[in-house]
Amino acid sequence: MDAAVADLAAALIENPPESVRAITSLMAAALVNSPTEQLAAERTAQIGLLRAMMRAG
Amino acid sequence: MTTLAHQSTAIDHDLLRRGHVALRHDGAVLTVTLNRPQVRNAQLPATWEALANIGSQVPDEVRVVIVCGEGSSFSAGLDRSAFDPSPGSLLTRLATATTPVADEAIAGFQLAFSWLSDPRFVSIAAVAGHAIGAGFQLALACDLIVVARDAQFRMAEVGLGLVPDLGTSAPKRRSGSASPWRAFRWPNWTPPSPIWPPR
Repeated sequence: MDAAVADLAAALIENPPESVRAITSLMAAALVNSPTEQLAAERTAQIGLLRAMMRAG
Repeated sequence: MTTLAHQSTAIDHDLLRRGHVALRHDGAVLTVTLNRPQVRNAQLPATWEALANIGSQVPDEVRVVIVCGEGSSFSAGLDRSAFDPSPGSLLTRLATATTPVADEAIAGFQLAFSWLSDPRFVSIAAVAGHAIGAGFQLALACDLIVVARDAQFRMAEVGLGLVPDLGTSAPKRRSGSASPWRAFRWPNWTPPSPIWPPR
C-alpha cells in the first residue's frame, strides 16, 4: 500500500502543476455539470493551457 | 482554422480515407477501425472529422458499435505533427486562435467522441496494445472496453501540460450524472484486465 501511494504521488508530481490543477478542477466540476457544460469546461481549460504552453515556449 | 462540419447527410468515403478510418456495417453491428497501423493508429484532425461523420450517420438498425485499431495498437493518440512548434501545427493554431475560434474547433473534435454514448446503441472499444492520449480518450468514450492482455493506457495530455478535452471528464449522457467511469479517468491510471462495464 505504501509503495502504491508513493508511486501515485510521484506520478502526480511529475506532471505540470497547472494541468494537474486543471484536471482536478474538471473532475470536481463533472459532479455538478451537465455533459454540455462539462465539454465546454474542458475546452476552456485546454485553451488556457495551450496559450500558457505557447507563452512558455 | 478549419472546423469540422457539424452536419452531414451521408457517409463521406473520401473523408474516411483521409482520416484513415475503415467502416464495416453488418446488420446490427457497425465496426469502426482506425486504419493507420504504420504509426500505431495515431489520430489526425481528419480522423476526428471522419469519426464525427460516421456518428452522424449511424443506421437505425445498428445496436452495437465496435471501435478498434488495425495492427498491434488501438491508438497512440494525437499524431506527432500536432505538436510541431511551427505556426501551421494543430496545437499552435489552437493556441494562437481567438477564443471563439479555438472553442469551436475543439467542440468539433469533441463530436468525434461524443456520439459513442448515443443511447440507441452500445459502443465497445476493443483495446490491444497502446491506448495513449486521444487513444485512451476514444476508448473511454465508449460504453464498454474490452482489454487485451498487452493493452497499455496512458493519459499523456497531463504530462504535456494539457488536459484531456475530448469529453473524457464529461458524465455519460446515458446516466445523466458523473458515472463510475470517473474512477478510470485519472491520468496515468492503469486499468486491470479485463475492464467490465459499470453497473
